[in-house]
Amino acid sequence: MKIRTRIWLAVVAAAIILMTISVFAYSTSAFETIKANGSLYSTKESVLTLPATIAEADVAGISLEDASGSMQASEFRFEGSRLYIKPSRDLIGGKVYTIRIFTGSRKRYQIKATAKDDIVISNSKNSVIKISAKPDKGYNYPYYLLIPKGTFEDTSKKYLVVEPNNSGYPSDSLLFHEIDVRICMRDYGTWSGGAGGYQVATELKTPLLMPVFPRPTSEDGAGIYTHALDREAMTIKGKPYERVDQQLIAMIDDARGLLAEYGIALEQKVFMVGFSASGDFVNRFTVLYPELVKAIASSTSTIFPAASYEGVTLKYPLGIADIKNFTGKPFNDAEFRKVAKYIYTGDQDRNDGVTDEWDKNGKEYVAAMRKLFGAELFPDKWYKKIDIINDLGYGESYQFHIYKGIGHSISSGMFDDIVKFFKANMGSEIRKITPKEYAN
Amino acid sequence: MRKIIRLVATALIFFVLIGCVSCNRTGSTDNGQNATHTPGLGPTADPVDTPVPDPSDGPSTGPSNSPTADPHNGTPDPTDDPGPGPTSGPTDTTGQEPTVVPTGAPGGSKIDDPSLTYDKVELKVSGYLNTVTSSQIKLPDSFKGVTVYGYSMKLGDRFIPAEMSIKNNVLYIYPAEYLKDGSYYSIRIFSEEKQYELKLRAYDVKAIDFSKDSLFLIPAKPEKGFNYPYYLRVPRGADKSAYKRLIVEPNNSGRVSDDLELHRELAKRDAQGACLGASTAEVLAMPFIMPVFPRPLTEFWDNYYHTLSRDVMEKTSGDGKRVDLQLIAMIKDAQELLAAHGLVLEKKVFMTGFSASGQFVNRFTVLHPEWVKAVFHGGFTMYPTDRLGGNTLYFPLGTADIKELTGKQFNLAEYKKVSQFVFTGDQDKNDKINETAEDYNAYDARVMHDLYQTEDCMVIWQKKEQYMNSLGFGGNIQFHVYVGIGHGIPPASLHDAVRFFKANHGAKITKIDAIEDAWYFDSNEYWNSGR
Repeated sequence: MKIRTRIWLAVVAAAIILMTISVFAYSTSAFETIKANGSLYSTKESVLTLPATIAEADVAGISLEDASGSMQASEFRFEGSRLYIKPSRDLIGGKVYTIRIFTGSRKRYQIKATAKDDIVISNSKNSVIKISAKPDKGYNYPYYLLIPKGTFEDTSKKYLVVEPNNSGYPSDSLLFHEIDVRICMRDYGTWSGGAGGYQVATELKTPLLMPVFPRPTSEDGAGIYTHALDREAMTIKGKPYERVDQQLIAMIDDARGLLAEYGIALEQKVFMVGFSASGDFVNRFTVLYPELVKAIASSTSTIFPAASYEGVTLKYPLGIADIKNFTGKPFNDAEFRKVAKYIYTGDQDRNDGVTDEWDKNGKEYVAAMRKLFGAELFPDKWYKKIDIINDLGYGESYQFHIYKGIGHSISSGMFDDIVKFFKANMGSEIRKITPKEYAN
Repeated sequence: MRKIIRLVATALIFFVLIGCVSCNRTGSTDNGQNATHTPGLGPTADPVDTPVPDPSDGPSTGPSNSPTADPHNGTPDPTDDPGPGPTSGPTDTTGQEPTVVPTGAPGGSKIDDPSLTYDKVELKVSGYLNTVTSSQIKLPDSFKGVTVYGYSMKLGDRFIPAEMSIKNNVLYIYPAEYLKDGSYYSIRIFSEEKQYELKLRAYDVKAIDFSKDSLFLIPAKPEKGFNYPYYLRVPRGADKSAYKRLIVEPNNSGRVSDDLELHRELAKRDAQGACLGASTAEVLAMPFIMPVFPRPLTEFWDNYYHTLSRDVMEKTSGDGKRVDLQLIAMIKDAQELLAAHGLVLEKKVFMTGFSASGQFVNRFTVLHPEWVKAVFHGGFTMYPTDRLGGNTLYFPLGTADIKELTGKQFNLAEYKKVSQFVFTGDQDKNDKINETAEDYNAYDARVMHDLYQTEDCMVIWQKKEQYMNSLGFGGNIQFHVYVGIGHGIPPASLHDAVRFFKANHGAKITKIDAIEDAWYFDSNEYWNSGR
């Protein structure tokens, strides 16, 4: 038996060696590796200078491949000895790619290049940076950073501002969701959009992070509501958009490391803002990971720091009864109480329906909502939520406010208050503000 | 013991074989497997079987992931993909077995070393390319087992960004840009000693299956007069519908972006049914088109394409020049395309729109009444006259200068043939009569103040109707107010649009008994109202 095992091992080893040798022989004979000058960028066009031995006229074909050999669509264009490469999709920063050049003969060349993110931070204007997806680091989608003008001079404490993206519609075009993020970052110029992340970041001179999460379409038309971090989004498996909460944490960690390299030191906790779906995301994220969050500003809040209330079991995303299944640890009550929460709405907002039917949280959720709120709508439902929070003993860390004269939208006056709230909550104690009575 | 030795020997042979297959350069060993890919990266580097995580959720990393992936839309969208299924192979096989045709002369005239000579082989296949979605091409049997070093796609001298891979001797092609209808693309597949070449023609629409609902994105065709793409929706049974016209609704994103992708995606959502026109088209089984016109952020008030504003009409160069004519070019293109697939339509179209797109329809109708049979919209702001109440009305309030703008006189006779249904909500406060950056200058604002003498939108609406009556168009146009709604599309208008178009399909102009309650909607009644 032992001998047999040993022989088998030898056979396997021999096979591996044989295969390695053949592979080695292969790579040297099939393609001549050449050096090219220049950088291969993950998210924009790159230019490489090729050795003079390669003339455009000899090029019969050219391709870009990732390390697994998958072809990556890309535009290629020659200008003399310069080769312009514009990948149709983002490459993954830090990963090695191969550019293969085929000639009319068996003479074939390859260039190995490591893709890198294009990071340029200016101190004299707002800098918008796109960081490519990095599955190895735990995030399968890109994220954007806004580093406001004057961030370097400003010496006050810096909390990273995090605004989960909320593009408003399900779409299978990631570019569609990305455009929305860029609109929120004012990358296209001055225009509206966003839940206040831009205002908080630029006023407080602190960086803003926005993920580019997808919101895939689904047959029922509602899409997979990753942007709201609903129960379906939290339980979906085997998709690149599985557990976007953890992906967001990975992005925050990555951004913290990256900004530190540029001399921007961030506090451990973050500020979070959200409106509507992204407001739900922020509330839900805060309950899951209060130890990561310093303060939040969000329209509405429908999650409670309790496992049950009035005999109703409060499972995610209504409460904490089963969040251990998602986070692997019990609800962190002490940290949750330290998070300053500004929850606002407009007196004409009718978006908070009877059961939040836009979310796909399951029948149990709908039944629990019905038990808690019946058919109540604004303002009864709103006040009932405040009562529950107070009754549970968490009133101290929440500030609720209704703006007069506005529906399901957000005004510049409201942005001012949100900024004010974060300014007030830079220190260790929770402080409330005096908000405006009218939205406009 | 002998048994063990035999086992070992078998195992050795087995592994050596695997090693050989993995480094098979000539393709002489047909192992009955997929053509292996990427030499130099190890025998397990088959992109088909080991897809890398797809970070952008965009086009697939391998066909097994998303066989019908639309490179522009990300994940598979069956309604967008007119192409053959992933396993069925090309549908237009002509019957004969594909063959490998060596074209003789080894390439690379400059190469003297005979060991470097390279055979160029043309692969004769019967497949085709889809301009917008992925394509699958069955390769000849003789290609089986060829180890592929790389692929390239070209149109003329230009390399086309695309992802390609082979599985079960089927070539999967995912172009990352729209291809050109009617153009022949050359796809090269490189192996150790051969350069294979396929010449394939691209089609916007190869076939229409009228037994199901289809949505096509037709890319821009500057040579045919349109510089932006449009969506063509062909509802199930359109070939058997009693209503043989196109329904046209200009896109109205309601959002501003320099990136056309945003407008394309929102137009797609609308064309799938989230707008008046597409919904009506579905009920009446009529084909529908929606252009993907831009609405840039850059100098946005000068570029409000979605209303067909004066600034937009005055453009004399660039892709955005005369989008009114571009829309006509799209209408013609869609009519020709559908006719080529057996669905012949009347020349004149039905048009729908709300708010910005309602204004577009309103203005388009005045400029090009010869293209319009009937309109149903919420955006009445333009009068078919040069003068009203002692004021001269310039575009977009009236027709005083449309000859200078378009080179065309107002066509009164054709305008009088257009059936019009225009609506508003009793709580809609969107109809500004002041100077606006996008539409009206100070002169226009003065004229409107003079005409209406009020800021009350309901009174303005009544006056609009009175003016149209006084101009002699009362018989052509029906003004309607939906009760209980502000600036939004009343659900009841969906019912009325269907009834209005049914009543106005023929030559006669017919008014309908419109629903008053804005929120009335009966799903059953609505979806059966096409009959």
